[in-house]
Amino acid sequence: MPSLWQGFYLDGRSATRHPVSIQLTTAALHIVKADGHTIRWPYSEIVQTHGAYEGEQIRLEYGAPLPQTVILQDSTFLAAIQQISGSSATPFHNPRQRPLRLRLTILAGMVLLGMMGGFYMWGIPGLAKLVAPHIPVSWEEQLGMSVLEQIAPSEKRCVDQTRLAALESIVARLSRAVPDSPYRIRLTVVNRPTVNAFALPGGQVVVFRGLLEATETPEQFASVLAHELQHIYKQHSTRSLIEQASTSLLIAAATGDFTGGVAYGIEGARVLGVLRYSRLHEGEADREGLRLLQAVGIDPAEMVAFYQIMQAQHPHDDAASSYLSTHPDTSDRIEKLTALAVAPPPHPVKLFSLEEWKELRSLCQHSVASSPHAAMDSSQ
Amino acid sequence: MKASCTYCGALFVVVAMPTAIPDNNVSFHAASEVPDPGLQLVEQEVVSAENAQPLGAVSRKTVFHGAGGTLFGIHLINTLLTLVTLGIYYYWAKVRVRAFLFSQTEFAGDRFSYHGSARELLNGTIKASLVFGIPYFLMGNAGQFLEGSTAIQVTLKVAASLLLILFIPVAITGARRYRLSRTAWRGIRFSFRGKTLDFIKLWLSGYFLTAVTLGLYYPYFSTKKHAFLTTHSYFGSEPFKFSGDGVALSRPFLRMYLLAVAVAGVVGLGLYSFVDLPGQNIEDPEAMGSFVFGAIASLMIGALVSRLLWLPYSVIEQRFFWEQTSIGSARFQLPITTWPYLKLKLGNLLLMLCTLGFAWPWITIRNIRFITDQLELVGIDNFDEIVQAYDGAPPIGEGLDGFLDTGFDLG
Repeated sequence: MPSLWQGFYLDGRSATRHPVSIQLTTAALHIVKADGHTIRWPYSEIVQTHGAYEGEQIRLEYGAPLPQTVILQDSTFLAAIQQISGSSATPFHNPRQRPLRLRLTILAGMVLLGMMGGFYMWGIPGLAKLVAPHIPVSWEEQLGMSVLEQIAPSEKRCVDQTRLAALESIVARLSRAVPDSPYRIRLTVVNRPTVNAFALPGGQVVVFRGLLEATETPEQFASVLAHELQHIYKQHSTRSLIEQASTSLLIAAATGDFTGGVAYGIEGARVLGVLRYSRLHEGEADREGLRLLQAVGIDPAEMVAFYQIMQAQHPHDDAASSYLSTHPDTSDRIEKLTALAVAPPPHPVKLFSLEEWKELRSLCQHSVASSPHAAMDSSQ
Repeated sequence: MKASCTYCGALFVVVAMPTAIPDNNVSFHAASEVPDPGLQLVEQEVVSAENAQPLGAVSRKTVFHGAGGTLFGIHLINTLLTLVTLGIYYYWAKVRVRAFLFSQTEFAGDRFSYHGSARELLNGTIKASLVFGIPYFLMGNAGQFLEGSTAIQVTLKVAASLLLILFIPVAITGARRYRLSRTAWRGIRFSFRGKTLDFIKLWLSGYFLTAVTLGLYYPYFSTKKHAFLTTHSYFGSEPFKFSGDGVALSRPFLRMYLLAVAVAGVVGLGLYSFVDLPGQNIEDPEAMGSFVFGAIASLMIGALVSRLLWLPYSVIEQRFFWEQTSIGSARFQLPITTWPYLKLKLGNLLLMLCTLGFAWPWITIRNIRFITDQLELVGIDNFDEIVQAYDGAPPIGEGLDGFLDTGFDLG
């Protein structure tokens, strides 16, 4: 190992590089300039700014705010300074610790992966579950109303009072089973052929004519309502908003950036997060909806029967595509619900007779819509 | 090309390349502090400085030494500590990344060094939040809680927008002032000495003219901005110079502009029917899903097309800006071309999408290397004559007096 190293000295006043020789003593670095002038830097006052990585030049700084600098290329210098200076070598990087640093970095990576995985799997849904109950119901109602106006404009609503009241009685029967809920459930039936229903935050349940007419029994319709009510009770919409924001923040924290190309990556991860959490909510609404049916004495098999009707209408949905969907695979849902349904109640509740139901589900064909066109049509 | 001997002060011109090249990164090490036989021969060719004509050129190159894996390691530790400290470590993380990137960038055989601190970045964020962030938030949201007339609410919203517009030039100059003051090469700090008020005037007038001309003023505005930022930047005592104006960029910009208008017209017409169809079933959430998907797809296609059209112009602009920049008697050159730049950006996008953003360290290094591999300073530099011109006092923490001309960075 050499006792003298060659390098460059920068005085912090001009940009001129001075070739120097560097000597090591037990307490200080001696920098010998070409003219023989020697500068002494005590080890304790030196800061090593470069040279922690293999092959990197070593850069030592002395003084502040405009430091003098010494630059060396010889990597053996660091080992030598550790050896010569002993305990006073603390400001210098020890090249022997590089493997340890690598191991620590790998460990940090694994811990980080575990943390992020845990946060993604349980932390974000848990956080949303924790925060959502503290959101005022009035905010949710306001949000729900604004969405309702968009999705179910008044001229598209089926408003036949007699039939609607009968359907609302099913809602009332289900909601009575959850007496401590702060939500007032309101049902809206929309005159659209789509087989769908959804819940809006704050207590709005929207059912499309297509779905209403697809149900064969009032209990099947109740099972749909039970599922949607659970979305409201479990605050799934509000939780979704919190989950989406948290996923974006998590990915942004992991990537360290919010801009440019990173935004695409964040968006991709957010969408995957949204899909996953949405499927979790659907699963929960199924389970809890089924329990709600059991609580009011309706045979849970009615829920399974309705999903079978849905599956018959969309036979090409497969399990693989369900990972990229907001809803779980229908076969999977049927399987899980069948397992949960176990034995039917001894005296299952019958809400209406089949004849009555046929009459009730034709609600939209008897509706008097509130739009001027509809009013004109009815007067003719 | 004129220069002076660093030892005797005699003026000389470079007439031939030396036979011995001192190191890999400097094609011709003029004004070297180490006497070089080849250079001594050149120095003998002294002619009258007034009549001197450039006969040779010195090329000083930039090299980036950092590896993506190393940056990824730093990034892992940073992320872990940022999450554990609930975000507080973010500023320390930023400093670590900057210090690494600067220390791995070499110009003419010497590496850059970063002297910023996390405390300064944190102060900068607090300062900007107090002066801009909080007033912006208050003005933007106060309307909801006030029972006043619509006029008051609109005034507040407009004031918030104006504050935001004003914040951008302040942030640009503040960040530049701070970052340059914390960047050193050969121990000499860079600095930015432009007046923020002048930049705000330039910014507002440029914005106005760009809007009035439907974007056609943009190349002039962008060149003026760049010229202002460059000519007020210094390396020690030596200012950077900028010699270009927007005329040179106006033709490529117009070409891109007209093409973009034509493409927007065609894409718009093509998408009209596609967007219109789901519009019939807007009340149906299922159809709304496909409508939203369609709208997002259209927007993404639109963004991608604009981005693709912007790329060739952006290459021309970057090349032009560097090639009009000089220091002393040396001028920068950045001979980048469109196709490699396009490949870089598409590769980055692919990496980002496939790794959900985790390839960020490699992408950062790819971007830096693309520039450093091609950037060079050609001409006779006067680095050995440059002296430190750092005013000593850090620009942070001096209170809000003169906020506009203090450097700050948001991290």
